[in-house]
Amino acid sequence: MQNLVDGIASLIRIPGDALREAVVAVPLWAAKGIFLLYPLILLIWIYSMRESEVKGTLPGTDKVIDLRLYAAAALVMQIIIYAVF
Amino acid sequence: MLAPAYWIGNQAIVQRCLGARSEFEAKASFMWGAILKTFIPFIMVVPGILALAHNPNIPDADQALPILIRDVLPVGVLGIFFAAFLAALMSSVDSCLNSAATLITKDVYEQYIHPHASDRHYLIVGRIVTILAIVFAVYFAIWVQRESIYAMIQTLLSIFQGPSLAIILLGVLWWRTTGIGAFAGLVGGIAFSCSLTLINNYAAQPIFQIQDPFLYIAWWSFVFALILTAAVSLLTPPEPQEKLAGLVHRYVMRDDYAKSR
Repeated sequence: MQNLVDGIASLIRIPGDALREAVVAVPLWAAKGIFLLYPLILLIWIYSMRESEVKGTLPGTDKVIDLRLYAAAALVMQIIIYAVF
Repeated sequence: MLAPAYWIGNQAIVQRCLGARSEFEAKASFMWGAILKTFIPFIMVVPGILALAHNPNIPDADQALPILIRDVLPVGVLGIFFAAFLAALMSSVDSCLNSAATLITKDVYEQYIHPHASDRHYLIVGRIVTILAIVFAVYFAIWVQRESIYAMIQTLLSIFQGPSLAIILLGVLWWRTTGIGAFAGLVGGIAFSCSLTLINNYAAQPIFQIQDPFLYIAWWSFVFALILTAAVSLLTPPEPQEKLAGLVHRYVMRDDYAKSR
């Protein structure tokens, strides 16, 4: 059983090592940029949504709430945290 | 991988969303949750840094916060802290118990074991499941003390979260996903993540060369389940359009477009 497990592990390690080498070759600034791109794309998507999907009122109030502001606040905080740290 | 799987697909989160009075309130609650979630790394990390600064010779990392609380907080505030801690704990535990009881009673017991029974019958079954879940949780908490609770929870989650996120994303975003495809993706994905965990743990040299391999296990089981679900879905007949209306991105967008015209 141990031989079987070790055999499978060796097979998996071949593409795994190749992938690791390829990923390690990506510069850290590029990796960080790609990571920050994710919340940025989400931000663009949210601001491209129709108003009917993001604006509404809560029960008991007439005040119209725009959820895009809250989504943007959360995403911008994420971008700042990951860009700085 | 684990964070989106929890915040998008975890049963306790989804059930809270489904319990909202309107679609807008559900959206608003998610936005509020997203803002609060931003502060969680600070809430988790800052007390650890304070504990290390307060007592650099902490023998056990799991004791860092209790020692800090004991040494720093005055007696009255300590009581308030523990009351708040217990309230938060009970809130999380009752959400998990409620969602577990609902899942087993509605999706397993009612569907496959005893359909068409009265609501009172299902209520009693739900309560019994809740008690059994508590007993299991107590036993599991004692058993898990052998190693880090955090690592154990993440390892267990990594087995299920990747495949479940894959089928949720495909089910919401791709109209061609079928029920059989999702089932195959879920079962195959879980089998794949279990196999990776076992191979990584028992091979002479682990396949993942990091301290926390569950991060990679979750990712690769997600990729595997995504491919398997897509492949099986394409080999099975598509779901009827009326079944997908209002649920899948393509038809939701089409309905919205028709309404806006």
